[in-house]
Amino acid sequence: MITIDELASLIRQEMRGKLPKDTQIDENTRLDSLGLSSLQVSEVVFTLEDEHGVEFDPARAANAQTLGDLLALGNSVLETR
Amino acid sequence: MDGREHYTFILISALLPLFGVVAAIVLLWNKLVGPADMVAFGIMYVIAGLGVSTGYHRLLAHRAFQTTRPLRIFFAAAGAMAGQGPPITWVAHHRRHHRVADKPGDPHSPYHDEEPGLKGALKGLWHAHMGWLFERGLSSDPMRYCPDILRDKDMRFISKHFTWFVLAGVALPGLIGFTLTGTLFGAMTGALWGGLVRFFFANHVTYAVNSIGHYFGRRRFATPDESRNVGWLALFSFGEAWHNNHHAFPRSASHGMRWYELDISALVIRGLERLKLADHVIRIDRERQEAKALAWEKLGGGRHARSTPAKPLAERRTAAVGIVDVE
Repeated sequence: MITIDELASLIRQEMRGKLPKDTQIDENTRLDSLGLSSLQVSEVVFTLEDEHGVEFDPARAANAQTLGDLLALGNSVLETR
Repeated sequence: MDGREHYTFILISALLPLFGVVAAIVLLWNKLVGPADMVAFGIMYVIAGLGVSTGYHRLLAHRAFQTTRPLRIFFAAAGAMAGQGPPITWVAHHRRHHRVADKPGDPHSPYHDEEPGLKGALKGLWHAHMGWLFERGLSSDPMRYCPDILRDKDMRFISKHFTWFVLAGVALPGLIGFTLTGTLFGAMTGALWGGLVRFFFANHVTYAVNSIGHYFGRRRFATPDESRNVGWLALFSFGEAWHNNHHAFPRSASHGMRWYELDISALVIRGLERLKLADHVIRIDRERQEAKALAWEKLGGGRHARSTPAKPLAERRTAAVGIVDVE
């Protein structure tokens, strides 16, 4: 199970402190609102893949708009394992 | 002047300035540029050139061959030292270029925003050469174009720490300069020639493949784009300049398709294969070349010809992402 906290910490790590400390990150946060580049988003997604030992459908991951979408996608893959 | 005198005059006027340049270099020798600088330049040019051509382009973007993990890392690191961007970004842009070459959506086509006349042509060439790099909105989503590269941890590492590799591309020739001259000044001029000057030359050769290689030159295959074979660029581009051949058969490990079409990258791949360090090398035999040439001849090539889908396949919502485009 991938949690929002895990995802949020990955994102903060990826942005190396450039994200203000008080920025709210939750399921409804839009990926494009955080200022992540496409390279950084993929870094986050594929790090999750590695850590949980699964493969996401990259086309569906690329269509994810919010962090909630991404979590739902990841966890649905984890469930079917 | 009669004909013979005229000919002599042309010959002299062509050769004399060249001798002048050589003489000027000799006069500068050991003052501003020494043999150690040339060695640093040469070594770094070969490393970065092979990194881009054999590594980024043929190995990563087109999967023209497979190799061992250390060599894959070496080629990607060498490519990063060329300073043309992280491997993941480079591959994403390049695969998109092939999907919609010289059509709307191509990141670097000289026919982008086409305007008539000489000014329009120059504007297009500039855009394909370097201008596209400064386009702020341009982004080719790597998740759609190169999930295979993203799944490679090493490639993610190199992409993330890309700037360190570029800096190493300046430090390394500095080290070569220091080793050869033993002086700090030698290290600095080594870094200058093997680093900055080399960035300039090597990158403009790559840019020229994108600009000139879609504008001036011979077309063997009537591909649905404007790619050209540019013989005079072949040596310094390590074979990348056989660009029409490449657009006809993107996955081919060799871009030179005749014995006389010099392709150093292909020779390197063949060498690695002999040493059992490369396998699954993609080869296109003459028969297949001719069959495809014939088929395209009937369709009529060029940028207005029908080709792959109007919208890049990978950008359709329902599209399965893959790399099937390139064959």
